[in-house]
Amino acid sequence: MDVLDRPEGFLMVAAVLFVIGVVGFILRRNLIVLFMCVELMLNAVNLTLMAVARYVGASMEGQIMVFLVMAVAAAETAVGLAVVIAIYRKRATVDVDDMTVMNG
Amino acid sequence: MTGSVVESLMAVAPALNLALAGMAVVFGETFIGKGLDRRWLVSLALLGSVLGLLFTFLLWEPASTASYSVFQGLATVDTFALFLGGVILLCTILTLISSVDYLRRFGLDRGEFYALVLFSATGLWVMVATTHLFIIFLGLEVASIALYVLAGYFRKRDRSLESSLKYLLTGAFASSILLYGFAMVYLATGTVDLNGVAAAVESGEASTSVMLLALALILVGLGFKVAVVPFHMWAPDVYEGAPSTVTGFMATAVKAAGFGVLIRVLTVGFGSYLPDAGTMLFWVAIATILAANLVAVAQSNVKRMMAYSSVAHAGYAFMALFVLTQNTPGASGEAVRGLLFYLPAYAVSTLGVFTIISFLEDRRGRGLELEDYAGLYRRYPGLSMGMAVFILSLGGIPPTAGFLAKFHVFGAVISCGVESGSSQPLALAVVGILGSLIGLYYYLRVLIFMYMHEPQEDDRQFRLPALGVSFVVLVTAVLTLWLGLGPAVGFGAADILGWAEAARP
Repeated sequence: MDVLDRPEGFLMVAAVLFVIGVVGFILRRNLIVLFMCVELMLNAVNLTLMAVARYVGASMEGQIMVFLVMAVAAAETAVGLAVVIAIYRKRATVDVDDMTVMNG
Repeated sequence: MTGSVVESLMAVAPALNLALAGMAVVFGETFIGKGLDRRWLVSLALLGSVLGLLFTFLLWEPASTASYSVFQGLATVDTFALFLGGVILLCTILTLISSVDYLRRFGLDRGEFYALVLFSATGLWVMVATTHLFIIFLGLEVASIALYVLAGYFRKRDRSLESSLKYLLTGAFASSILLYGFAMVYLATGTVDLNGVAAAVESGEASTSVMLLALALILVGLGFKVAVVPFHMWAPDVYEGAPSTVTGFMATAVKAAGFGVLIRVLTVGFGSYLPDAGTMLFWVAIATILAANLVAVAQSNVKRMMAYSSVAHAGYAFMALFVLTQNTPGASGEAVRGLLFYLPAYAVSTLGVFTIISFLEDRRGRGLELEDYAGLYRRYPGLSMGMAVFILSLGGIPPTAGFLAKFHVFGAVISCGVESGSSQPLALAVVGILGSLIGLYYYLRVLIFMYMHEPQEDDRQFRLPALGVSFVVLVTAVLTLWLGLGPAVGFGAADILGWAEAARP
């Protein structure tokens, strides 16, 4: 049987992408890279939703949700980059370790 | 009831009012200075949220006989949704009123602030008024993205920007985890409507391992949103850096919606898998109550202390969620009712505190340290009285709302222990009481500074509290006492408990 006939392959790739996103988010220190990691996680979810909608659920809900998740991700990135630019203007850094005005 | 477009729109009227008012405010901002005064925008924003609250009351009667399931089942407007939606709307109204004077003093009184508060409230309302997992996610994102902007609203201030960035990063991370959990539910059951999920779980079609993974992911995702240990590390920084009135909104309305979603997802969707989450919730509640209360003791910044206090209160609320996992139907009912009473009780007291904090903060961001509160009683006797009421309520001292809320939640935990005969709930109750005792230390310290210390000599001038500030403090203080005293003296506040009772999902 071809791998494209079953959802497992897609789900596996999605899970790997999601874990890469999580690990990257925890380990990396550059703000732009952190946003990319979140994008990776969201796209892993998108892939999962597509696979489930196609092979398991047999409903359109998952596929429609992919579009909405894309819109949400775009809005989030737009706000995020605006904040990063505002911070860069003030401090000329995009390193998370420098975000210590408050002792957190 | 499934009905026409008109009926659908009527059922979500509270959210519709918020969204329309928000758009009108954004639109109106364009005409500011061209014959339009900015006070009109605030009035417009208030009108939208007050109308929303009015519709909530109007919808209550019909919804309590049969809940509205509208927009092809995408929105479920039942008493549960209306109750929590009402709490969210109340928080919105009070936040709007207390923000006017605050923003004006900072020269940042613009329409977009009010619009963003309204949009955020719309998202929160949508979150609690649906059983569809994807709609929960969309509501959460609408609310969160507006809040990211609000947290960074003082964009000339380092702290505010940093607060926004930290909130955004952890928020986006948590949302992705939550969404992956929803996708796992979709994988296991082939549906994302909680009622359909429940049916699939019942019939044994759902894969147990995938459902448990989904449950864990959802608890982690929402754990970030309501800030429980070990997912709380963002809260102190975000709460400290954000504009004070926004912090108040985050600590109350967002928590109310977050716990609403938790209750609904856990009780409606997961059914037989719940006992497996018991141990996790048990340790999360214990860690949250102990860690947050202990760290709060060491804080000298009042806003930061309130952040840890808010984490601690999320811990008490988690005790009620723990009861839901214990297969004790009687105690579960009590727990949901207690938690639903806890949310407004905590919200009014916390909003009052943050209104006073925002009033005392000056243009340079000073006035937030505990020393700045020394001798406050002499300068602002009225506000100090209000602060005393709120602090006693947060500490859980009768005759305030906080006491009664804790009483009901702890009572539910104890009767769960009696009903199940297990020692876990009783241990949890002991930890809860211990945590409240630690909490009293740092809460009462604020009062000691205010009433017993000599005022500092400094250049800060006396400002007469603005009308909006006095109004919000008065309303929240009255509500705090009313919610606390009401049931005892038969003064109508028993209605709130009755409503909470009727609002169980």
